[in-house]
Amino acid sequence: MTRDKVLVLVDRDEAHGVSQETQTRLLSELFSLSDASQSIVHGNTWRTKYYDAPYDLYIDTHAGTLQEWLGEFNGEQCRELRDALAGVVLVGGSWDASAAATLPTEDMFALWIDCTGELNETEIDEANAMLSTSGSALEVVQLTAEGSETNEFGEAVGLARAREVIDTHPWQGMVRRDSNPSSTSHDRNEDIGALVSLLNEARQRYASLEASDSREARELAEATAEEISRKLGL
Amino acid sequence: MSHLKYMLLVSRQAKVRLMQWYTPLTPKEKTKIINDLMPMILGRKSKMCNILEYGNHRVVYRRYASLYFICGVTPEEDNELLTLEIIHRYVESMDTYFGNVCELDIIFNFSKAYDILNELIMCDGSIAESSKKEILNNIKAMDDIEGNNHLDRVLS
Repeated sequence: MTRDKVLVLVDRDEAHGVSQETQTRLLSELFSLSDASQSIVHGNTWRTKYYDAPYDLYIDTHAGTLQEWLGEFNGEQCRELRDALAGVVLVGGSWDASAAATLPTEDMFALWIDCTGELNETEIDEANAMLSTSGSALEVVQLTAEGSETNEFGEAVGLARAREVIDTHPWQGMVRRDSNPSSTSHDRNEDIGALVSLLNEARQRYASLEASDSREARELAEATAEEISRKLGL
Repeated sequence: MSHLKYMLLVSRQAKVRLMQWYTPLTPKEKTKIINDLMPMILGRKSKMCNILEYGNHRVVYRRYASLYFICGVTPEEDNELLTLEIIHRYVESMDTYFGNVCELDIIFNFSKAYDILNELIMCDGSIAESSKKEILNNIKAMDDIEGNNHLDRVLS
């Protein structure tokens, strides 16, 4: 089964849950979702400069404790769902390390988006250090990251970091784009490609000319030379 | 003079993005080093020292964004501060080549990341070239040769 589904779980508990406005904002900024009222959105594409990855978005909410939801999620009845997931995004209240430890993160990305704004960058960094040393792929980010867009290490914070985590996930259905990191080299390859196409066209046209038609051949050669000069900016 | 033992590039999510070994080690030894160092370094707080003792050698690391650059050095031969500078030069070179390099660039252009590292550090772990300009010139020359090969293939 292809892992091409992303599950977003929103904490809607009255006491510490996430408001509808926050949910809409988050889904819009992270997944470019215009209609946040839908619970299943098919046919999305995660785009980076290197690849496109199709995915389906599943939005679920829970009003009880996260442990209860995770207990159900980790059960046998949810095995099929777990095997289809490319990633899980937990959106909600205060950071809960014990609940996070029970979230399976093998072969998927996992994000905890803290909407309380109570954690500072140091606490987030420590929580992430604890998670990575314990072997969990879960990463904690804060929705309301204020001030600088990067932390002291130059790392993106907030939703920008969440995007990076999803970007670096090895999507099973990704389609690579033909991308070259060096723009000058890329531009040069494009130029060469255009010139080669031009030369190939000219060669084919020359091959179709009659052997005696030297005037037309000369005109073709001149036109081709002019076109090459123009493309090279000479 | 610097003689690195290895250089590892590890993400904050404990994924090895690049590794280069400059001393002969068995696959088991390499795995042990990676498995030992990752939790040891990823769990360190930001204000902690970037140099630590590990086994019979010393480890120098530096974090850039979500990536940890980890070098094994020989205390008798290497200068730890110089090693930090080597790491920084490597990051600067990649930054200039890719244009604000990120983890994704390294994942999708890992061969280029290795090429830049090979221009900077020789196979015995010593510095091959300290000039960022020279490193990038060499990489550009490699790109040009690659482009010409592509052109030759098309024309043939």
